[in-house]
Amino acid sequence: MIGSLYALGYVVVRGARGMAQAPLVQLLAIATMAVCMSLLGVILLVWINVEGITQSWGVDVPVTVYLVDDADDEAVSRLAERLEALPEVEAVEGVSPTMAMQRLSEGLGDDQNLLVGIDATVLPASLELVLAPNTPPEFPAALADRLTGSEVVEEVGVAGAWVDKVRSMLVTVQQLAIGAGLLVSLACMAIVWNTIRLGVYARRAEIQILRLVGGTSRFVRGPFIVEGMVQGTLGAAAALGLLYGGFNALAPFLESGLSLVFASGALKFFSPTVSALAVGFGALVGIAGSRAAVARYMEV
Amino acid sequence: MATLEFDDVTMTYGSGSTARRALLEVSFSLDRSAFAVLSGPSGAGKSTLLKLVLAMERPQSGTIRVAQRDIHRLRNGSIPYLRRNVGAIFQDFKLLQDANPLENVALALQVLGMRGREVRARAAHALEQVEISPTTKRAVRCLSGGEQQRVAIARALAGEPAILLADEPTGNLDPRLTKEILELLAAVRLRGTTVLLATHDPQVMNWADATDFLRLQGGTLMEHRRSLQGGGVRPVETAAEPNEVVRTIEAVA
Repeated sequence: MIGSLYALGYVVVRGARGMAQAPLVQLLAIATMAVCMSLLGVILLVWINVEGITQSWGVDVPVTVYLVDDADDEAVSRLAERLEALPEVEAVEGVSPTMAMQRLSEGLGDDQNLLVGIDATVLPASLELVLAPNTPPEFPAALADRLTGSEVVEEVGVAGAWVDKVRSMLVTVQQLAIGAGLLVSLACMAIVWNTIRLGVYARRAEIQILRLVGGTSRFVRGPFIVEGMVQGTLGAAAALGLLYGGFNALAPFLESGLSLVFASGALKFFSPTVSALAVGFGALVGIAGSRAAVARYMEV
Repeated sequence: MATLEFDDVTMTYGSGSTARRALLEVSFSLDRSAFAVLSGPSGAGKSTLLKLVLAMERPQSGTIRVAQRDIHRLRNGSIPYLRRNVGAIFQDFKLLQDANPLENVALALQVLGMRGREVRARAAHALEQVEISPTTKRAVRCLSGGEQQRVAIARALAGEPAILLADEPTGNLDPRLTKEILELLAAVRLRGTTVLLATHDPQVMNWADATDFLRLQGGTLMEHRRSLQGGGVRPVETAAEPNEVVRTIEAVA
């Protein structure tokens, strides 16, 4: 056990020394990793924000039933139950005037002061319907026709054809993001693997010597894995830093220039959890790359 | 008791039309504390034989036993543990060129999981045995060929292996150092280590205070003779023609 601890100490020290001996190679590996992770990060940011737009536009709520001002609570409940019982309807959510005002306020972001002095009751209460997947496209219009005569219903808002087009466009953007993400991931893995392999190649003699004096696979591989992990972690952290800087520089420009698409404050950066996962992913890529590169010279 | 045994070992590099036989049905055994000199011209199979003991190569047929264990049956994961018991001095030294002598020797002890202070003490002792200052901070690449050779010897001795393999260990040394290294190897065997030294240098064969003499030619073990206490030699095993064995023994005696 103590022997193993000393061996672990050696692995860490040797890994750090290996990095110090070839700082340029390390910088190259970290920079390569940072560039690749930045590309992946851009794609992920696009994905996250497209998803955000979908939600903020209410595309997921294709039918909104606006209620009359003095609607009887019991009648509204019955209507909600009847709607929820329909197989085409997945969920029904009641939205009070206060909730509607709160959503509007959040949607305005920094421009919330525009709503100062406006009473929430000017907005109607409503029922928002989420439709089940594969619901026929003609269903919302047919439902609206049926509900228009109801005594508690003021108006039925049906997301029109433009919503379908937007939805279709967003789905296409997301699919493109997935495709590009996969391609960039593969390219990143290849580039990072080759960069790490270059570093390992320069020290292949060391690997052979360690094997010949009785170093186990774990002992020989250890320092290189430490190196790969550090390279991956630093590369991912640098990529996050780059992305954060770029995001902060671009977000105000996008939000003001494309205000129709992006409400103020609508663009989101990675959450701390996603950022931590990204750094962990970088470390894993570094570990996998160095493991694969060292394996080539282990057979002595 | 035999520490190292070869039984009908055949080793061929490549296959088909490019196949090159390196060893053919080689059999011999070396006892604990033996000091064997393995001689033969270049290409005779000396280095191959040493590589087989280190499990760097696998024979096509035959059995190799180290301390009664058939190393042919070793799993890959067990090979490092074999190598910790078989010290090796290579023709090309195989040293970390950017590391200093102490760090190079320490490697052989670090793989054992020894604590730092003990590693330094034992590595320093091994270097002193070969007249290299353990305090030198110079990288090995700045040392002469002879000095590098001695660092390699120190590394092989540091772990106090059961078997010490030496492939032309005096090739870069002057006669004085050559004799000193041979004396050192003879002293090592008295500690219970079996030493197998490969050389093509007749001087080394004459100077070595060896217990066993093996001669390879074209991959075949032509003779194996053992020194007798009080002088003289006796044949042990051979694949060569009897007349040649007798001739060789007579010449040495």
